[in-house]
Amino acid sequence: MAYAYVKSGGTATGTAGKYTTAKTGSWSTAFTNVNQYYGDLYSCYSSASLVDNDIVYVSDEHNYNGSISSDISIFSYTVVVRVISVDNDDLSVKSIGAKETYTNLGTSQVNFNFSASFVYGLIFELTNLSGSLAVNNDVFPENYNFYNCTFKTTIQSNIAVSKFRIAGKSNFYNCTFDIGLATNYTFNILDHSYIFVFKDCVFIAPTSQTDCLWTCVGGYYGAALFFDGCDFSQANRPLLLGATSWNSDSNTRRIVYSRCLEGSNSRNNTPYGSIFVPFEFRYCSRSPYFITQYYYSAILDCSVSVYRIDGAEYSNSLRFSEKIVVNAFASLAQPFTCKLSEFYYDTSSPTTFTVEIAQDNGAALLTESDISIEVYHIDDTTSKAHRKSTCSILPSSTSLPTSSKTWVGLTNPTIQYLSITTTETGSYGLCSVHINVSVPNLTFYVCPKVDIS
Amino acid sequence: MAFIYVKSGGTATGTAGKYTTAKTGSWSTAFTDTSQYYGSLKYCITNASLSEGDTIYLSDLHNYTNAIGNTSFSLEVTNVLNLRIISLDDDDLSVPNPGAKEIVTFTSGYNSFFITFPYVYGVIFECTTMNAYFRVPGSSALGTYKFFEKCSFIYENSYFWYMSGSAKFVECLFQTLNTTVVTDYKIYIFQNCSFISSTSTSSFFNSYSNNTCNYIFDGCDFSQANRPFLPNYANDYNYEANQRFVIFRSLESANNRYRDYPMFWGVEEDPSGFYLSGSDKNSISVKNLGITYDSTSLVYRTDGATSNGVDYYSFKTIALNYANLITCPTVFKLAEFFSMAAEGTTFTVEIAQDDGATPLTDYEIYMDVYYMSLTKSKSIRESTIKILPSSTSLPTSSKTWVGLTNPTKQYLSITLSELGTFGLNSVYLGIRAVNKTFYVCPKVDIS
Repeated sequence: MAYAYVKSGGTATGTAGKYTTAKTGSWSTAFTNVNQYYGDLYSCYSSASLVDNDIVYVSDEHNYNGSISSDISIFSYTVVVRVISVDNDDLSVKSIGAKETYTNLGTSQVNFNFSASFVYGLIFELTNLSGSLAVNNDVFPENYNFYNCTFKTTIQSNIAVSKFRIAGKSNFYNCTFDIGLATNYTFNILDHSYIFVFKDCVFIAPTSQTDCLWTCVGGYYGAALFFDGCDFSQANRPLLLGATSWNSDSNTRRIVYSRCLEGSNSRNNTPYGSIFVPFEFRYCSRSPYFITQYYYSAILDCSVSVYRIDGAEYSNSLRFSEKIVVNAFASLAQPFTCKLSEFYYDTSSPTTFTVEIAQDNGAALLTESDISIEVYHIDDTTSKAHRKSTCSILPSSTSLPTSSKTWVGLTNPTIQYLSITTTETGSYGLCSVHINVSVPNLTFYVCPKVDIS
Repeated sequence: MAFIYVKSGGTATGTAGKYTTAKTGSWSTAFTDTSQYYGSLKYCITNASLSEGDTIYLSDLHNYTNAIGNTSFSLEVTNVLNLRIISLDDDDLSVPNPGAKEIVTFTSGYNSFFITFPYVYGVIFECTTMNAYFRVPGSSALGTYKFFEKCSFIYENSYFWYMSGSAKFVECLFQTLNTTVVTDYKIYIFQNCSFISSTSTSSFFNSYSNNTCNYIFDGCDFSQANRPFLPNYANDYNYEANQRFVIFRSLESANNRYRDYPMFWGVEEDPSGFYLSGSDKNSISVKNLGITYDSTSLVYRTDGATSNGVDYYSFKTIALNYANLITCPTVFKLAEFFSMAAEGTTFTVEIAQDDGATPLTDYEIYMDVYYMSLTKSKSIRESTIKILPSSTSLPTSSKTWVGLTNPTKQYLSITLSELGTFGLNSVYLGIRAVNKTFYVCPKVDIS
């Protein structure tokens, strides 16, 4: 493992800035001449003959301004290296601040590609060009990790389109993404089939009522994007992709926002998640206690204003139900289906699972063809789960039984229930309750607390 | 909405087998002549002018063989999304009953048999020709999936089972002699399905590289498919891709896990693996980027995690001999729970190694905690990660472990530094160790 050093002003060539042992003390005591370290990251990458697991230390006072007129690539997926910003006064201390700025001198779009595997504390500012971060398709077998980095782009009028592009499996922790105020900037995800993780990151982007923060490119549309603890208060625009970004390959696409601070426009789009895998907001600022799920054929949203007495509760004081809004895509042949609830229970003796549902304003009773539930419970001797369903294969006009439960928040509610009693001997284990809706354009409430008797 | 009837021997032409109301009683009382129903599914879908909401009913005695030359054969309806095909009891047309059978035989050479319908109940599809391509579902459309319930797919001599388009199979039977499943981009859900195949060390499932596929199996029976689920080389799966392969609460046979399934794929939030499945109904087995972790009841911390309130377990974690972990740590979610996260609360994770192993350093393994902020309307992340290389050992622990000889016991802890509130707390472990085996108790101590 070798250690390479970078600070603006450095003039090292070849491997002159690479060492077999790490330097100690301050930069000025560690180096006696500017030819002992590289002046910028590209010089280091192109000269130092780095190998897997080498470390590039960059002074937190590093401030390099580069001009380019064609694509530039710094580091490569073929060599796995760490790039760490360290305190200029004490090289044994990590410190945010090393900065590289690149300006496009031309009038055509050019790309800045940066592909180090582990990066800490660097600031990248790209002027008048598009940034492509953590690039390269089919990178074997790494994922990219950026900690406490800043990625900033600014635009000049002579470039028609510019964007911030991320490709390859990437994890960003406590990073800031700033695409300035130019409305024609977007975050551009190479939506191949990669996994992108953003944790504790801050996003800065122009406000829009309608344009999603993300655009996706690529031919397969199967990426997974996870955001946890991110701050979108300075990127007040929709966060979920709408129908226009769909194609038939989108079924594995997944977007999850967990515990994030949203802007007021974050949910403006009418998004379509996948058939089986929803786009999700989990415990985000607009509904901090709950999960909102956008499936292709329905939206599930927790309601604290409508709930069943003695029903599900988030805490001792907060009861809720699931408001399910099924759109026109659900049908008998293609029912909306999702998991309602999961819990451990002993089903060694016949067990009845009951799910309570309600509609507002004296709505017509739902039939056993309209809604069904499925229960999975573990066998008594093997690991196999038994499945039991109320699904009516043939069309049925038989209404679900009416319920005597009490709901809050509805006017003249239509209250019904579905129940299943196990017929096969089970054991203590994970029980799952799924709900299926075959009728389109239906809004109803379901209590996720499954009654067991 | 119309009702269309199919039974082998039928001779209906045009729309003669299509009715505006459903027939009742038995087949023989409902129909007085073979000209009143279609003789094959192919003829029906070609001639019945199908429209949204239609249902095709097949007698459970229907048994039709499609003899085809060396050309593809298609049983497909892709332009009518709300179409259902249901096998009915021949004696009582108000009772669904599996049994209707459609067989394809290629009389010269071999080709593809496409099956694509929005919903099918109880139909047996069989291909008898060696090396033919069995394509179920055969195509996809925007936002749709194909739903097969209590169907059988018998293709004992076919070469490929090729799936295009997302699909859900419920209580279906897949019977194959020597077949590889090839999938393409989509999500496939198998609930309480059964698989019958020859015993083999070659894999049952395969995939094109670069393509995202999610396979979810729940409650399935592989006891008659004694072969590996997946190949053991990475290139069959794109390690970066949003791939998932989850076996959940299923009955397995000895060879199902015979090969290591590929690493470098999966999502840390929901990694691929075996959950509550196989010989131990409380077990979890996950392989991910450079590491594996398997639940074990042989090694555990006293007063540690239990799988059912009684039986203790830990995660046996193996950091593989994979040097790039040093630079590219693998992270997995160890635990998630709701609790109050007051400032000053300490989360502690206990780990142990066997046989007096060298202590792990704070660079080799680290811990991330996420908890809900009281004031920021978002979660807060705190981490023990070391950015610069460190050789400082993690602190030693005084906890008691069972099942280890001369254990090396250590712990990681984080004391929350900001004001938190009640909410979802998540604990992740990051692994940068190489070629190490250690045990982690998934019960996070909170003090």
